[in-house]
Formats: sequence, structure tokens, C-alpha cells
Amino acid sequence: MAKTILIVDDSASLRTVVKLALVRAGYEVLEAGDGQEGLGQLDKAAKVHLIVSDVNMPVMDGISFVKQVKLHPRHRFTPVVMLTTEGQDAKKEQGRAAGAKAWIVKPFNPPQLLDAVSKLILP
Amino acid sequence: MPLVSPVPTALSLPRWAGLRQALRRVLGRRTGAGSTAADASDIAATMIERLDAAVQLWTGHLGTAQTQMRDATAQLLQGFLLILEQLDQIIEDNPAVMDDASAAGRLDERARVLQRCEMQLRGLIENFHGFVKSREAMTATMRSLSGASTGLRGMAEDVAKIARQTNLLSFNAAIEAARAGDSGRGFAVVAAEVRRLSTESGETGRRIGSQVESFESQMSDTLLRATRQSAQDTGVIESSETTVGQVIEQVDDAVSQLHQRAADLAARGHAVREQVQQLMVAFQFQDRVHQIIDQVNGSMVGAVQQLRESLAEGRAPDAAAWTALLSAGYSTDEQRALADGGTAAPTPTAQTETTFF
Repeated sequence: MAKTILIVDDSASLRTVVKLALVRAGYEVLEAGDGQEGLGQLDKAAKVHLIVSDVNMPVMDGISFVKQVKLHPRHRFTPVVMLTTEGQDAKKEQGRAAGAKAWIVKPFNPPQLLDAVSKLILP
Repeated sequence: MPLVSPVPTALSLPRWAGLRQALRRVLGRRTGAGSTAADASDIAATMIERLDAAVQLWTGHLGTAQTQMRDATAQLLQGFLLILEQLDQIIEDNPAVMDDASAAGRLDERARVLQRCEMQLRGLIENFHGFVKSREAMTATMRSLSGASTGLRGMAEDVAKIARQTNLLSFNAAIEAARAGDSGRGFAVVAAEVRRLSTESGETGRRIGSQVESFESQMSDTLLRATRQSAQDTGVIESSETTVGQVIEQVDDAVSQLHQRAADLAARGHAVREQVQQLMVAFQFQDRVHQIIDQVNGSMVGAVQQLRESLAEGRAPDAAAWTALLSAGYSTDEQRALADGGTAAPTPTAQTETTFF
């Protein structure tokens, strides 16, 4: 059975590109336009094996979103990969402290994302 | 392929120093004509209002550009997805372009099938050879039998010769019996009987000779036919061997061509996959440009607001606060590089390293 990955990004085109890479690799994908929508998707989904999230988003940014995920009763152990234009160490540290498992700077190569996903995704 | 076109290196910055001098000249003339400091304030307020109007117009234009770019990118992506879908269909219809391992596996299977065919054909030829050998053995046996018949003919001739001599002997015995008179009468009977037997033996010898001759003739004909047939069979088998060799060679050529075609298709498949990945990297530019424009929009609006507040307080904006305002919301390295005094924004490329926590 295909594993489910939630993509959280305010850019529809970026979500499409990430979704394309993941679906072609055999994953099922859920989408959300910001952190708040992402939490809504987590509430509805029975099982999410991994989350790919942007950092700079309206309504709820990626760092706040990860913090909320870590408090979620069913998804607190779901690994989160941050996918962002931010490459500064200070930002990465914020992500690490919030509970993210990996940090990829955009633009990304699909094999790079798939490699991180395969290493972190829940069984 | 460059992800984002570099920002022009020579930005045409306003000549602020000249503007400042011009403002002083205007204020000086007004002061000389009896105007007050309120005039300077009015001018500054008017300039800020004009700038505010300009910023609103610029943000509107940038918003329009963002919308158009977003829509165009969405259309490009949809087109890309359709092309990719068709490409997947082509790959599905031509499995050789999938991955090298599966293509090689299929080629190995074909090679194994070919090898089995070749072995079966070679086995057939071996069977033919066995058949020829068997026929040759039979011919040799017939030739041996033919040699034996020659011996039989000699024996028949010997029988005839013995019969003739026995006949001559019985004839002499009959003469001697006649000379002996009455005492030789019994011997004469025996001599006559021996003569009759020798005559019959001679007849039997001739019949045997005749039979052997007939047998020899038939054996010779059969041997000749068998030898001719064997030569024909050898020719047919040699011809079959040549044909089988040609068939194997042709099939081998066809498999080699298939192999080459599969390799070509696999190479093209690789190239297409590379292109697809590069395009997927390139499509990410819209998000990046969008973020930069959003930051510029926010920065312009914030700058006008800051100027308004500074004017209300009768002072120039604080340099550090001004810089912080302009850099607030930076999300890319190229924005920071430009703000730090760089003359050209670095072209972002796809990162290859992932930071794991």
C-alpha cells in the first residue's frame, strides 16, 4: 500500500512539482497551502507517513507548523522535511529546535528529495 | 540551465546627492522670499504623498506581474504534466527505455531463447549425422556380404569341379568293372550310381553358382543405390548445416540489432529523465521570484510608512532602522548578497546536500 506524504507550501506550482516527484516515486500525496491548512489535513488523515513543509508561508509559517505537529496526538512522531529557499544556519537551527528531521534548500533536485524521504519515512 | 535570470548588475540608482542640493536651492529661494520652514515641510509631505502614490502604482504593477507569472507557470506546468503523461505512455509501450537492468534482463532472456533454438537446431543436425553413420554402417555390411558372395561362387565352382572329377572317376570305374566281367557287375552298379550322383552334384553346383551370381548382381545394385543415397544424404545434411548456420547468424544479427536499439532507447530514456529533472528544478523559479517580489512590495510600503512617521516627527529615518526595514522578510541568499553590497545576484542552482538533524 502506498505511503502518504503531506506537502505544505503556499506556492501551488511548487506543490505541483513536489507532488510530481513524489507521485512518480509511488507515494500518495495530500496538499495544504499553509501551516493551518496542514494541521487540518492531519486532523482528517488516518495516517501520514511524512510531511514536506515550506518555511515562509502566510497564516501559519513552517516553523510554527512543525511545533504544532509535535503536539499533535496522532502525528507527533511523523517526520518533517523542511523545503525552503532559506539557507541560513540560524533558520536551520530554528527548524531543528522545532522538531524537523531534515532541511533542503530550494531549488531541489527530485532525487535529493526522494533520498531524504526514503531515509526518514515511517514504516 | 540557469534557474533565474540574474538581476541587472548596473542598477540605475537615483542621484540622491543632486536631489538634496536641488531641494536646498528651492528652499533657499523660498526662504529669501519670506517663506517659513513650513514650506519645506509641505514640499517633503508632497514628495512623500507622490512617492506613496507611486508605490501603490508599482505594487499594483508587481501584483499584476505576479498574477500573470503565476497563471503562466500553472499553464506551463499543466503542459509539462501532459507531455510527461504521454512520455510515460511511450515508455510503457516501449519497455526497453525503462531502466538498464530490466532491458538487460529482457535481452538476456532473448539470448537464452536464441541459445536454446541454436542447440535444438544443432541437435537436429547431429541426428542427421547419426542417420548417415547408420546408413554407412549398413552399406559397409552390404559390401562385406558382397565379398562373402564371391567366396560362395568359388565354393560352387569347387563343387562343380569335384563333380566333374567324380564323374570321370566313375566313368573309369565303369570301364574297369566291364573288364572284370561277372565279378565286376556289382562294382559297375556302384560306378553308375556314383556317376549319377556326380552329375546331380554338378547340377547343384551350377545352380548354386547361378544363385550366387544373381545374389551378387542384386547386392551390387543395392550397394550402388545405397552409396548414391548416402552421398545424396551427406549433401542434404551439408546443405542443411549451411542453412541452419545462416538462420542462426541472421537471428543473431537481429538480436544484436535489438540489443543496440534497446541500448539507444535506454540512453534516450536517461536523457529525457535528466531533462525532466532539470525542468522540475526550473519550475521552482516562480516560487522564488514570487517571494522576492512579495518582499519588495512589503519593503516599499513599509518605507513610505516610515517616511511618513519620520516627517511627522520632524526627523530623517534612523539609518539602522531603515536598513532593517528594507531587509525585513529576506528569504533568499541572493537578496542578502545584494543588500550586503553585491553588484550581481548569484544564480541559484539546485542544492545537492540535505541537512539531517
